[in-house]
Amino acid sequence: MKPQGQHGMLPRPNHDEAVRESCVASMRRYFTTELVGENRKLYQQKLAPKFKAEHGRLPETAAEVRHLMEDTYYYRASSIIGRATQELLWDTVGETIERQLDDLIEKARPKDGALGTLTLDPDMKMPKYIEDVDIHVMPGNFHTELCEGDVLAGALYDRGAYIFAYGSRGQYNEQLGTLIAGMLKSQFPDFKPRRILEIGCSMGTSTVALKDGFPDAEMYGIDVSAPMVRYAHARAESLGRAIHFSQQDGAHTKFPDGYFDLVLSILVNHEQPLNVVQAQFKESYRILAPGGIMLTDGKLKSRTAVAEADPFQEFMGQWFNRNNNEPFGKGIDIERDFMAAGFALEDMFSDVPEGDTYLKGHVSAHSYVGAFKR
Amino acid sequence: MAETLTNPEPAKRLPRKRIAKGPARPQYFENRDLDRMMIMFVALMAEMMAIRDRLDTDEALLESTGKLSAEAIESFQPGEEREQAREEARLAMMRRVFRVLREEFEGDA
Repeated sequence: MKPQGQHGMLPRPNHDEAVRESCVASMRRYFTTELVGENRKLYQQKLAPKFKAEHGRLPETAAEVRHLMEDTYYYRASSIIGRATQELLWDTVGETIERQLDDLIEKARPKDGALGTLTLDPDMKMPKYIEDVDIHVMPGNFHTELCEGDVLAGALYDRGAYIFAYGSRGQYNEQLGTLIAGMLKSQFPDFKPRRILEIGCSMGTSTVALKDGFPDAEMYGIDVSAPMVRYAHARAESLGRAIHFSQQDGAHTKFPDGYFDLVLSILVNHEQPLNVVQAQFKESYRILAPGGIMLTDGKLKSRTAVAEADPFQEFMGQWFNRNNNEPFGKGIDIERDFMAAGFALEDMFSDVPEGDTYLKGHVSAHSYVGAFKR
Repeated sequence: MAETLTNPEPAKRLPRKRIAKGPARPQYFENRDLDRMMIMFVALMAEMMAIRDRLDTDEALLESTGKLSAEAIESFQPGEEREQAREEARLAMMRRVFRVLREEFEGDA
């Protein structure tokens, strides 16, 4: 794994902590690039032919595939190795951060002469879905505060995401933001957003990349979690980027109508219940100016070729939902939900930027859907 | 007296959480204790790899300076080529340790 790009908020591991982190990254890589994919081989070479011999047909549903797969030692063992690696990842990174937490909290305190701003909401009531499930099996989830001024969750997510990706999503975890900015600029060369908002910005890695993609725009990032926006602010300041971070719920922001030309949420939909995603789309529409773009990850049903039924893919595509505390993301229909928010179908577009790292082993590359507000 | 009693305690920091909240961990093996054993086993394997990396640091320092010190170990950076070799060694270790997973690929499933 290449070393992570340095900034002032990155925890400094000692020798043994650093090698343990590299070992977990190797385990993540082994799981993703070697273990997971072999499930399909086992299914195609052994399980499906045996099923056909017994039933005169191939398995037709994800439930049938699940039954076959869960009966194999390979699926069960490879799955628990993946789960164990994920649990170990947070615990390994967390040890280093906790040791330096007082120092990181001090470094994160907003300074005079900052380029951007940090606005907290002490009255923020944490949504129930945030309190109930530690997404990605990250203990304490995005929002837990261990003391006043805490930034642990932000540091954990920045360092943890880097190791999860074994360094393959850019030295500054910037790949998704960079790809999205590039995609928008190449599709719409005349689009010059004056203000951009990233909803659910967490540690602010995509926010920084989007600011780099649109350097003339005023950049804003919001998240329900105080430790995330505190960390994101300090990280961006340390990297010399002017960004306005605030603690806000994307489903009910404090921004005036029509304030932004570009509103994005990146890989947030799968971390929220459907009604929250839908409310967030409506809120995004409200705070968009006419001619502005809303962008999120997903597909346009009516413009996506109907793939041949693949019950194995349907089963394995849900691996992270079942094994990595990602229980949400079901039932979303971007076309329907964007239309309910106010966008017209003919104003929607979608794209799959090239160069996305294939991290979850068994889901297709990220596709994005955008819509212009009239 | 009453004043000292109402004085707030200095703000304390809670310990970080180490167990995730949410849906119960899926059951993988025939009983959940076996699952926990496997989670310990995976953690131990990481510890073992880390010891190997530390030995590699020692060897690198001995080769280049002829001596070892805690300070030199702490400030050692493996560099790209050495890290790549460590990565290959870790992957090779996992392929050896998890060899038995390949059983069902041979013969009848």
